Amino acid sequence: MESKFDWPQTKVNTRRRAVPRAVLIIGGAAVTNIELPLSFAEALVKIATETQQPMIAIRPLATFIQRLQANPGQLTMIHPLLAKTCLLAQSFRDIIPIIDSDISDVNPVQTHINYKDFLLYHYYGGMIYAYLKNFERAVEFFKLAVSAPAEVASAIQIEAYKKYILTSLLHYGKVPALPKYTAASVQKCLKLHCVPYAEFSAAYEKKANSVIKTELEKHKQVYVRDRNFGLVKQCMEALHRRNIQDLTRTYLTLSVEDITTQIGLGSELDGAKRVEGIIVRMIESGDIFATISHEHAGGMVSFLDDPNQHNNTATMDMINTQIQKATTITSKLVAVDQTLASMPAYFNRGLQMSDQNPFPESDYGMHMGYEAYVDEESFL
Amino acid sequence: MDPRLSPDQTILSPDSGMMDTSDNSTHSTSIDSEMYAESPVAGTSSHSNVNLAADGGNHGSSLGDNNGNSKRKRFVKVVEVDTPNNLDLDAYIASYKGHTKINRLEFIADRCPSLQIEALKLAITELKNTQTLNIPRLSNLVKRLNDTVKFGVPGSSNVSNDLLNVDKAWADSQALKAKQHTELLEGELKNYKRNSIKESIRMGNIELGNHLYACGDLAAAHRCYTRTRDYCTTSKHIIELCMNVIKVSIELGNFPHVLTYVLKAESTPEISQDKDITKAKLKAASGLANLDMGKYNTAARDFLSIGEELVGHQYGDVLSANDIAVYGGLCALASFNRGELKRLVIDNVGFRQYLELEPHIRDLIQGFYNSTYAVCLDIMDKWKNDYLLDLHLHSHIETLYNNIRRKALVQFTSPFLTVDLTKMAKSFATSVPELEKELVSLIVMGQIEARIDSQQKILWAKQTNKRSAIFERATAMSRDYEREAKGLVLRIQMINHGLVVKSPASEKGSGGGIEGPEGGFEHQHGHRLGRGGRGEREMPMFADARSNVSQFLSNFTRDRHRA
Repeated sequence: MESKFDWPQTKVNTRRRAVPRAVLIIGGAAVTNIELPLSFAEALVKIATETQQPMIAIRPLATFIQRLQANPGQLTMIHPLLAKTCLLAQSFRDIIPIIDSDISDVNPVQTHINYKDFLLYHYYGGMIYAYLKNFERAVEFFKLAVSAPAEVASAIQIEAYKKYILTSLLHYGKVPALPKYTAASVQKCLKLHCVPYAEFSAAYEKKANSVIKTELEKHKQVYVRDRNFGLVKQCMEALHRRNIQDLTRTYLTLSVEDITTQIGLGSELDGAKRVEGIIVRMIESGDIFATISHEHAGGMVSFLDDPNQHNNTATMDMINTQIQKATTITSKLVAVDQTLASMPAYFNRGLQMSDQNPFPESDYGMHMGYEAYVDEESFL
Repeated sequence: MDPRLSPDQTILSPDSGMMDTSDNSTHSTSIDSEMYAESPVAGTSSHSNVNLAADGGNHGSSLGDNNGNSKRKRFVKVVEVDTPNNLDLDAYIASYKGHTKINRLEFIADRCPSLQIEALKLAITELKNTQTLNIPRLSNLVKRLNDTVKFGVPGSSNVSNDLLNVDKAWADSQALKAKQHTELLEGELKNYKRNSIKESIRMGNIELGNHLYACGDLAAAHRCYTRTRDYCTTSKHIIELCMNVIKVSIELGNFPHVLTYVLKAESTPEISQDKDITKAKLKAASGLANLDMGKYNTAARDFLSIGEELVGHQYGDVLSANDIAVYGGLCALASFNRGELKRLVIDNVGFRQYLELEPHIRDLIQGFYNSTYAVCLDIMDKWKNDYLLDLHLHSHIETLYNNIRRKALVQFTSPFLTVDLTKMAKSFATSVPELEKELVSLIVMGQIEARIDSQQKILWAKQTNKRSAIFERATAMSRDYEREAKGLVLRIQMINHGLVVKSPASEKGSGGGIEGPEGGFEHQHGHRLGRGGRGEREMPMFADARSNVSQFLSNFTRDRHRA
């Protein structure tokens, strides 16, 4: 897009000094014209990337967002820009408070966003979380992008789905089903375009080391091309952790050696050492509760139960906040639902449906469309 | 040389059609072991191969040896049995009659080298004594007996010459008789059809079916029997039809068919005198079918509800009373829990009669119920070979035994807080590492709630802190709920504001909605309706979003609880 700010054709240094000043301007002035900050922000990002210092754009962008938002959960055009810039700069300190609060308000009338902003923001956001190894949130963000309402699939959605599969495998060990309301056209498209990923996840869910490795080798080029190979490699590492976690359910004590063979690292040279390392890290991160004793040769691992007995105030507080959150969100949902129900378009439709012969000739096509939609949904 | 007299024809197609290839019925069937000097026979397993190949070749119109035909799928994993531990062949086979007797004998001959000669001898004698019309089958059996004797299998010395030869004249006359009778019956049937007398057509079909069955052409017999369906006028006829079809289908190995006809028969209001025995037979047939399809629980229930009508081998052309005890007992052990075992098996007066015939099965069930597993496993082990020689049971024995063993393991551990693996291994007659492997698989499957202390070889029952578990579930659920509700709110908003992924073409057409002037729903909405195209496309989405919301609000808790 054309920038409305014509930066004087001076040296880069001057521009860099100009940035903080511009921020001051924006920060001080009340934002009245909605077009202004976007052009400004884009120009800012352009400078920042051209000077190879995306970092300098982050702060101002974060400030813009705060200024532009009517409420904290509102999505603005700046969101995807900021997320992308943060990814480029690999600096996430300033964006974390922003992506940590879920988007709850989209209003193109106020913020001039379009669907691409929504998709891109959640795609980049997911990538940020994946970078920070907060895979649960990453899965959520990718899921939002994939399941966004759609008539046709967007390339962003397809990419997001690929990462959705990998991050889900990392966090859950399996790929949870997409929400029912994911558009049928998108689902069809995903099935078509994400075959290597689907095969990988199918092999992964079976937890068979060798099968996964063959899948990985088979599709390695695709993963590298999609720039997802890093995640794939992390999946392989996570598999060992997952297998060890499974062992805690069946064993109370098990020697390191046995663990090594059980999780399929027995053939490797220093497998036992590696396994011990993995276990130590897992204990540190709280994934498992265990102790390792070296009284016996090779080391014996005792798996313990989760020491959290859920009988403290922390649990109580957490439950209370959760209840509150659930109540709030439910009432909001009901309100939104009622608004929807009282909209003329929906209302008319309801009347038509209750009629015996609801659809005149001209409306027939639409009727068919709806039926087909419902059918496909129940089919899924 | 006249090809009809070529002996090779007999070898290559031992079961080639007698009915439709009348040439064969006149050629020589006398068997001379010299003739087969070149025939490629190596041992028992290759016998079955010969059968199999010949069977596959003329499956459509095959007569004669239908044993291989019906059980073909199982030839894949032939298990040879050295010597059965308890089998008394004469006594065992005496309780059967008709085709199943021959089928079973041949099956045993296939599987068990040590009993091969004995079984073949019995089968040939039986066929001869009953003046069989199924000459190809007879000659096939005689041929095999010859081969076996030639290989000098122990016991071959006392095979009388009588059995090694088929009286040519007799065989020819039998074959001719069969052929003539078929023609006669077919002619009669045609006649009935011309006169369209319903009852006669039905009877004619049944007679022809019976004859073809006797000749061994099961597929044709099946056709004849099913053809009577259109001419059934009373429920008695329907029962007759069903019983006939069931009999043939079991022999053909078409068990889904058996179940259909059992259902059909059971839903017919019965007026026949021997009502109880028919019901019992139907139960037995459906039990067999379910056993064959691996539905052991249903099969056990079928066998257990037979009642005492079949104690005297009344259903001998399919299965004996002993079989009912064995099949029913094993299926019950493999699929029932303790309560069901007590209620449906041990307290079952009707079934007790059968169990008396097979005391070891009774002991097995009692032992299992009283948790004396070593005894059980011992019995099971001793009888395994015998069951591997059973026509219907053999391919299920491994699965059934595994299930029983697993259930025994689960029952063994259930009352204890800690179990010493060494002691447990002793009572299950296995080694500790093996036992550990079995236990791990059971724990992974969720059948045992316990953990293994592999250092001290102790199994600890898992003490789940239910309070913690509930807290954990509640937190997970609330997180899910929040997430999904947020997703829905966002989605409705997006649809509402037209934030929908569109193809570039349609975006151009209606993109104005996004940049439209500010205004509430009404305004935007009017805008949409005016434009028509877009509103129409989005309405389904609205409706869809609403149904999602209502589903979510009403089902969330229920769904999660189920999960």
